Amino acid sequence: MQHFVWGILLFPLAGFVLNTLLTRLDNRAVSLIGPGSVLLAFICAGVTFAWLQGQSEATRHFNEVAWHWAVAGNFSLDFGLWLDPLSSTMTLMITGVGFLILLYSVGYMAGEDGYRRFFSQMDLFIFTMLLVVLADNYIWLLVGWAGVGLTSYLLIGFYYLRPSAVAAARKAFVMNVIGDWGIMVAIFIMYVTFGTTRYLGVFAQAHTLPVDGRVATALALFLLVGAVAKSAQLPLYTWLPDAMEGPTPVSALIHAATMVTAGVYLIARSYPIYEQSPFSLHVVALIGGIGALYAATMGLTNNDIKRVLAFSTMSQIAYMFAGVGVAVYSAGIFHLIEHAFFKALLFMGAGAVMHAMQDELNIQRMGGLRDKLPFVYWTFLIGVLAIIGTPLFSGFFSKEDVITSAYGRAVGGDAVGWIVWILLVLTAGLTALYMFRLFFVVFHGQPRDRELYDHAHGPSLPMKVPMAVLAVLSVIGGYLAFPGAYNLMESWLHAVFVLFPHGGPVIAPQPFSWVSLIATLLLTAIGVLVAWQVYYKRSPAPDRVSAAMPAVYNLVAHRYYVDEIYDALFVTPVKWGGRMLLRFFEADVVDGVVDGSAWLLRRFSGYARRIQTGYVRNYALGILFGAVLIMGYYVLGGR
Amino acid sequence: MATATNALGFPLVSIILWLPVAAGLVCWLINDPRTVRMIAVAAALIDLLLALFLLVKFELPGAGTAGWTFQFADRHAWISTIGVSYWVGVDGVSIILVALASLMMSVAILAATFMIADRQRLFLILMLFLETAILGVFVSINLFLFFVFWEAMLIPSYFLLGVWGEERRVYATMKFVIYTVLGSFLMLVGIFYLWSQTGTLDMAGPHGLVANPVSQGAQNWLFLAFGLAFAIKTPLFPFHAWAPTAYTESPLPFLIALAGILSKAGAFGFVRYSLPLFPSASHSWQALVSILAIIGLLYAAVLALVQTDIKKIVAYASISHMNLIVLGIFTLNATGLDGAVLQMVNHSIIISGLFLAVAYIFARTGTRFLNGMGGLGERWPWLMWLFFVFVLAGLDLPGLGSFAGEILIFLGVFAENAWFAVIGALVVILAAWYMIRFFQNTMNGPVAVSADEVAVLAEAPGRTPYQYPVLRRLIPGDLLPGEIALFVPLILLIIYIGIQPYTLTQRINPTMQPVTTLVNRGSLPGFGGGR
Repeated sequence: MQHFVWGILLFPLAGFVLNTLLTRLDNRAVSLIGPGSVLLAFICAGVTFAWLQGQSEATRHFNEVAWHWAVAGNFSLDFGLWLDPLSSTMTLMITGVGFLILLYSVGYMAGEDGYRRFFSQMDLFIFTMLLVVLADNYIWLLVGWAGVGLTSYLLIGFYYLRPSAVAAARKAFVMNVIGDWGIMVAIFIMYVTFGTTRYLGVFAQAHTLPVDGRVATALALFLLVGAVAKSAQLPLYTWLPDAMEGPTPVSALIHAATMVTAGVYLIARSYPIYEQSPFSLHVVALIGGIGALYAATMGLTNNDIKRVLAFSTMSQIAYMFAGVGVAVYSAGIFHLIEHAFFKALLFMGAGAVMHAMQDELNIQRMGGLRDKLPFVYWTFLIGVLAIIGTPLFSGFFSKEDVITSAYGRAVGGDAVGWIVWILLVLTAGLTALYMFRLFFVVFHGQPRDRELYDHAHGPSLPMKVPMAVLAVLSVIGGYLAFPGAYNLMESWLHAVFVLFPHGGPVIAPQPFSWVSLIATLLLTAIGVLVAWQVYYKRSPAPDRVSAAMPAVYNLVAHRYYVDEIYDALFVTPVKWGGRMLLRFFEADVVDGVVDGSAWLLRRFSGYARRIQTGYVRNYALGILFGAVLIMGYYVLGGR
Repeated sequence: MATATNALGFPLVSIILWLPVAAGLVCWLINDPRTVRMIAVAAALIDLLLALFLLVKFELPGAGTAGWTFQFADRHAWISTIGVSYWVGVDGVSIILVALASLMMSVAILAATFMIADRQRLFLILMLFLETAILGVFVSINLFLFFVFWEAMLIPSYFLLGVWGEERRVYATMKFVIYTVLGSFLMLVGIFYLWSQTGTLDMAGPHGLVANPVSQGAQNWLFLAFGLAFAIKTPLFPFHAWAPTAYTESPLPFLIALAGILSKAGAFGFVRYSLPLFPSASHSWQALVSILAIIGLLYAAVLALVQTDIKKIVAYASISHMNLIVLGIFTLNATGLDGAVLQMVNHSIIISGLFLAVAYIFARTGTRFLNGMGGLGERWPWLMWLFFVFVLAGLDLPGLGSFAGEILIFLGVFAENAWFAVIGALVVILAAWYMIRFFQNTMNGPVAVSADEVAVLAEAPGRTPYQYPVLRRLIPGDLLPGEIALFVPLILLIIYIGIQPYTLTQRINPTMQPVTTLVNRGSLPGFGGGR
């Protein structure tokens, strides 16, 4: 049964290969292969999940080595798969939500050019994402990691003739490669420190590292570079809002449910390393806490329906970072799963709205869509209620799990815990405000563009079915845990986090706290009420609120000018430096030594000029000159 | 000590070596262009098949038989008074480079059959001569024989670049030849000095050069004399000034040989000669060469980022990657060296594919400059997607062959010096940037020239697909079957090596282990030492 793990990987790969190579397939066959292969992978994931359930906690994992990858010097690596409750949970989510989104795409992408290309690339994405969570070593994790970056690039730039999509794709790709660099350096450190990059070898030895020592901290922080780049966290998040240039199902699958949460998976997976570096965990938790609030403020001022959702994604992933950052890994993963449900649902709703409104993205041209799109209205409302953490909706349980954990850390005497907890609670209020702002502006009030409103039409059946399923999951998906009563997620994942020894401080799941719960709910309620007052009743009108403090509003609305700052700090200097090097060094020095020596010789050596052109020997002189310099270096004390 | 054996009892290496020249001579006697093409292609492909046969028959040393062995060796006396013999054979590194060279020369000769129209027969003959010279560099076990082949590479190259090159070919040829000749002149002096010290120029055997190293002081100077020749050929920063010009002006089939294989001769020289013959000097120069290589790989990457001529983008990308290979070699540990040799294979495949793509684009647009392009993928999707695979391999995407080489190199570097690896690895960000820029600015974005305009251009006289001196029409449509046929084997190799580099490293590693044992002392304290 455990060998079904290969099916999880191979079916989406087969789907990609078939949809890529069979160029004559008609759209019906494509729409069968695309989602169908992911459905088969989901079934395999279910089978392996059942197998894991049957194992005792000590043996609840499965490692299979397939082939030698490389042997070089004292380095050797095999390709193998690693299955445990963590990767099993991830595969179920990826293939399950992935299948629903691909099904939705059958309706959403109908009639688009590049239909086959879309499904082939989506299947490739699912394959690489599954590779990330199933690899048994960091090098193959990096292969999957870069693979999801590649498919993300391809799908953001799906409309590859549109300049904005091309620029967004390039930005996402390059920023993700910065993360790849971080993981590469972490791999170097592992190899030199532990002599291996396999999870088994690394995690078995990790506890021997001194707590907060140089190696443990460097490892944890370089892995974190990879995690923040992939998960669009501070400071490498600026690609995510632009990534909304891709088709909406892409945003739902890659830039909400799966790929962007890979950073959380990476940190949870690497827990034996992070346990050795409480300092790094503090950094993770702070990135989470600050990022949550920071992203929420940008969500509040944006008028693009998908970009608001993108900022909310960044904010919610920041919650997950906070969860793993306070070392309650199961809380981070729990929120990851619930977020996949309700955020995919919200993006599907946004896609349905765009379909109805002829691809309009600006929420200020929408309004009153409640009457036109009742199905979308109700499912979107469920998504909104889930994300803001309305009691008894799914987001409530997982978000409560994260916030309670931070609170437990705080009352345990950790100053960073207090900071993170306060930020998370504030963000809960802000989340309610900006999500209901979006909801009221889009679905309530008067239609602001009559033309668009009159032509609005509801989604087709292949779009409705996945939305309905996700709506149900967004309501009931959270009952894996109930504050103060039980936490199935924690007990299921427990086997993962006790498998390897770790010498660092062990943080048990935090007990339920009324203080934290009431504070969160209070702020959420305030957020909803403010949204109701400003965006539903419109007294005071939204314009007047933003006009009250124009400087702050402008700063936030321009996303704190971070894009511009990064351009000025990194992009422009590199390009300018390249041009200067080309103009002055490459042309004048490297070439110049050669060509210039010709000139010198002609100038000073009339005799030589008379016997020959001087050309050949001048080059020789140039090279000799270089050689003499190096010999000089050696003679004068270089060793 | 290095030893040589021949389990075949049959001089197959010599046959592989001389077959192209023989075919070239036959072509000289024949006038019919079709027959000449057939013979040239057949000779290249037969050579490839024989090389693959050798690769399969190559015996992997068992666990206990560690040692540097040359297999399928073939030896004849030549000028014994100065220690010169005709001695050829392959070790785990050169067998792979022989297979690689015969593959890339097959691709180049096939490309020449439809890319070169002017004096095609002569072009093919020169390419065949060039193939023998390159193969000779890889299979020689005698230093003088090596030098003869090393110099012999230059003669066909001179004509191939000087006659069939693009507009500034004379300038480019001059620069190329002078750089190369100067490098090899110093090497020749070094070779005679070695002979005067040891009385032999054979590499292997109990009286060979490997078994009898010269004094430490002499090593330092000899390292320079040899190293300069290799550094120029590779090209290592800052000896690369000839390369961008020569690459840009080369006719495409010759460019595959030049960037794909001739550059490997330089890197191979470091691995085969500099390290084993001058072990203590290699250590003395390790830090300096590594720093030059790191500067070079970042420097060339930044320059690739600001080029507007697509042939120059690939030229600088090539230089950047070659500097990475030198960095790997000068880790002086087996991991880095294995990675460097593996990366030689990847680099050949990728750079040839990218230059082919440049030629395909030029044959369709009549320009090499980015400002005349954009949205080409809309009209020519096959070109876009096949080209894209090489772009990904060129930015060392994990999962493709070049990543395997790159990660091994950096693992080796990190074990020697953590900062070198951390800084050097930043090149992946630059590579992603310039490669994606290259791809997007040609294939994506708004369409720069409409289909109607292309049709007009295609009909205009004076436009040239593929080659400067010949006037022909542009190709209006997507990739031709012949063009795809050149791409596909390269793409399959890129994917295969990515999934299982073990096929290559299991041959490379048993050769590099004894070489590193020759070179090595205990390794420097790396990052792990500072726990």
